Amino acid sequence: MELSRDEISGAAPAMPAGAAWDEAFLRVESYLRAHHLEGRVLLNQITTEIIREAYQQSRANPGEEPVAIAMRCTHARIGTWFSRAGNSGDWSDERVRARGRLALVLKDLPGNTTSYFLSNDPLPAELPAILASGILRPGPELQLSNMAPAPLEFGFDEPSDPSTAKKSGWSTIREAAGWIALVGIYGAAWAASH
Amino acid sequence: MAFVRFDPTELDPREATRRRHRLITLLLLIAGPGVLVMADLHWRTGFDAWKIVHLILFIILFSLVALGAAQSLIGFFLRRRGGDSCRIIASLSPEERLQPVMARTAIVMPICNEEVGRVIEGLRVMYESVLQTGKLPDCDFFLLSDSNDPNRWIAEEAAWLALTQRLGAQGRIFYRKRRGGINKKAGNLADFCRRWGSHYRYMVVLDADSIMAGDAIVHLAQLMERNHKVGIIQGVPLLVNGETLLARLQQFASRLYGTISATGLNYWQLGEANYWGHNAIIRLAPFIRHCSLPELPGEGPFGGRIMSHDYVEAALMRRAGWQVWLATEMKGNYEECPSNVIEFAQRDRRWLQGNLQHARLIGAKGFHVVNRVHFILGILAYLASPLWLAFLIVSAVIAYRHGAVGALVIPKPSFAAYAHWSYHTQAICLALFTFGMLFLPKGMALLDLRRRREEVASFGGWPDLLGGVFLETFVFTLLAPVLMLFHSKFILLTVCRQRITWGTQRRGRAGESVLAETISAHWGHTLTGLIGWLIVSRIDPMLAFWMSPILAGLICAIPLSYFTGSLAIGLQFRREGLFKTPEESRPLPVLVELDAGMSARPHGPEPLPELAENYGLLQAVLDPYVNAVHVSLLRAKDELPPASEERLAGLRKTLLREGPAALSLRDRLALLMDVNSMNALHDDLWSSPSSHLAKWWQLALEHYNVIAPAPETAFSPRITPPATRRSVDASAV
Repeated sequence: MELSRDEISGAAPAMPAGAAWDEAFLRVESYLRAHHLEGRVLLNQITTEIIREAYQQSRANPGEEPVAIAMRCTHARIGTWFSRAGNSGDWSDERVRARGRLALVLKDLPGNTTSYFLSNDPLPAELPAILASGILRPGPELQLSNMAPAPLEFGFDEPSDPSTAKKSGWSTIREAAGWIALVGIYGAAWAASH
Repeated sequence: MAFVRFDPTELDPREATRRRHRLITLLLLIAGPGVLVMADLHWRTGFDAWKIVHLILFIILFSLVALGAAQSLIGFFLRRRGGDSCRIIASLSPEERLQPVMARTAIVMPICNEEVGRVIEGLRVMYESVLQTGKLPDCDFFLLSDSNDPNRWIAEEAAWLALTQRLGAQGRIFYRKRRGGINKKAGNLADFCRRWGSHYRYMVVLDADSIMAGDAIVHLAQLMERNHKVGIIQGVPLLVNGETLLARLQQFASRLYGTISATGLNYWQLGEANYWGHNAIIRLAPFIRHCSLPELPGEGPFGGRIMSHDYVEAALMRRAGWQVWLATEMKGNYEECPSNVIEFAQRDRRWLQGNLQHARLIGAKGFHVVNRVHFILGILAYLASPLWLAFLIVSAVIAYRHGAVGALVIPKPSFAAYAHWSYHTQAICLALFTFGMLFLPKGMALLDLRRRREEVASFGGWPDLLGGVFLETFVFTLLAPVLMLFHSKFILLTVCRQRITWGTQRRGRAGESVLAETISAHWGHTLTGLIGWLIVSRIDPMLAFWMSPILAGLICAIPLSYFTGSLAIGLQFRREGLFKTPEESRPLPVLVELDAGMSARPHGPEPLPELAENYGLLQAVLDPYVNAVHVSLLRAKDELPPASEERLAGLRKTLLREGPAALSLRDRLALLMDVNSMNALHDDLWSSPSSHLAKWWQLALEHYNVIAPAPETAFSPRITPPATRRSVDASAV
């Protein structure tokens, strides 16, 4: 690992150098930007702080990839911010982090909190309540119904209501007589002319 | 005029019987003379087996034509008298129309790989329109997705959430994605009913392309509240938003002729109407209890799961004693239509197999006779095509046999003795009578318009209207034989147990014709037309003349299909004011709003072509917010069996190391459906050095980079320039 100019000269604070740390910087910056943190100054400032922290930690774990350490620090930073916003949890767990991100997006906070998202400035008093109300409801409460397939039997049957059948039957006979008469007229016309 | 309420519960069953008998009588009056004249023609040249077959085919086909003519005649005369007294919308008084509906109502839209932007805009417009009425305070909207295209799925989730945020409609518009698409749309709706159906009294079913004004939805709910014995009310949707020539022709024709046809349909259907699967309201309790689709005995294509669910659900509802009505003359009820002939045929292919499957149900116990008629007519709607083809072939054979032996008119007593017509005159008269019956609905519709000046004006006035009718008749006459061949082929494939894939319909601009696709779909028709023309002209030039509209349609199938699917031509016709409909001249606010919404949609930069194919997966894995929303919508599962866990771990590793192209669609869907995998992928991807990731993911990560590539100058280091680097990366992908 290369040492930074500040370190060589003995001046603090320490910032790493080298392609791996450049990649880690870029990755953290990209990840924060993916959270819609668009303010360049704030983005650069937070990224620098995270990389510094990661660099400190890398001394204890020299074999670990800078990107992995930097992302762990990023999650910790996000977790700390959520704790300040009244939403504590185990931020090393991706499921908890996903819930935090969901709360952010449900309240459109990335767009509304660009100035203080992940910053160390005091947070608005109403933020914890807003974050807590960020719950996704894809559907109402489940209330299961039994929907058994309708039985099917094959073969024609008699109508269930005999009175209707009788009425309908008489009417059909009357009308059918009309149709038979009509067909009969056609037949007669045919027979007479052929 | 005083309001006279129609009460469907007091409808005398004998009235329904009388109406149906009158329709059959009219059918006999129209079809009988035609059949007699055709029989007489054969009689004059001597009957044989071919002619008997020919006559039987003629009877079936001519009866279908006569049914359409009879319905339009009835519709015309009813409308002339001020409308049918037995129509469901007449069951509400004007005062009742002002009342709110307090019953809980679910408005559900099942979708499957549809264009997300259009679906969401449609939903937004309807939601706002319902809200504006203020008369349906307790309604929820559901987007029920069966999409199995990851891009569509992820886009749906994000768009749904954005919509609920935009409208403040959290807890009012819901999204549900099924893990498996069992039993297609019917299964999707059944899944909704099982989960949430008991929360609601009514369910308004929409299609992905449905548009219903809030007032139309409220109207349906009011009709249900008023009529407690009605299980389903089917609206009659008008076609709108057509942009290609074919779509504009369809919407013009359906708008012009549909009204009297629907009135005629309602005349004989009454409380035994059909359900068309969308733009309808359903009473949920009896639907859940009685309308769950059974499986048909045996294997496909005629057995197994019922593909075309709507007719069967209507029949089951009626079997359980609930009425099903067609709501004619209701405003604000729309849908869109296929944009080109191939899309049209694909849609027909889906419906065709479903309808053919109903053959098994014609004889099922307990169904009302009218429902059995619906099944038969549904089958005949498609079976008519091969029957027509057979009719044409048999006609050619008869002509050939006449030519071979010399057509001999036997001097036998026949109608000719009274009518004093020659054999050819008689044939011409029969042809003219057939055409007359075919075009009678058009004539009736025009006559019906004669007394509605305002409506004529909204069609663009008489010259545009008549020009439109002429052109529409010309184009559809040429297209009819093309569809005949399509349907005949589909029936053959179905009978041969060829599987039918239920593709997604492309509508609007996305459905414009593509030349290569058009040639591939229609070259067979052109060839058939040319061979047919060669054969028929050699048999008898006169027969070739008679068949010329059919043969010309087939020979010109490629240009006809291509140009009718052209957006430019369609839009040009719209500018010229041809095929204008009242919905275009005086659109309701929902249509204006939808159009404005579609035009104002933000169009962000398209994803890179190399990323586009798996862009949904990219976002679900990479984007922190899309990932969070996606994960929260997945059902958390209990611990997976070790084998499954191992398989998913392997898939995750392959995805990150080799990119999505290394996985099948099934594998990608398996990962997208697994909560733990999606969490792990998000974490692993962002925490892995680029050297551990596939080139594809490296390219995807570039999306979020803040630093733009440095501009290239003469002093730039001689490394691969950014633009080239990207293309190198892409080729590696």
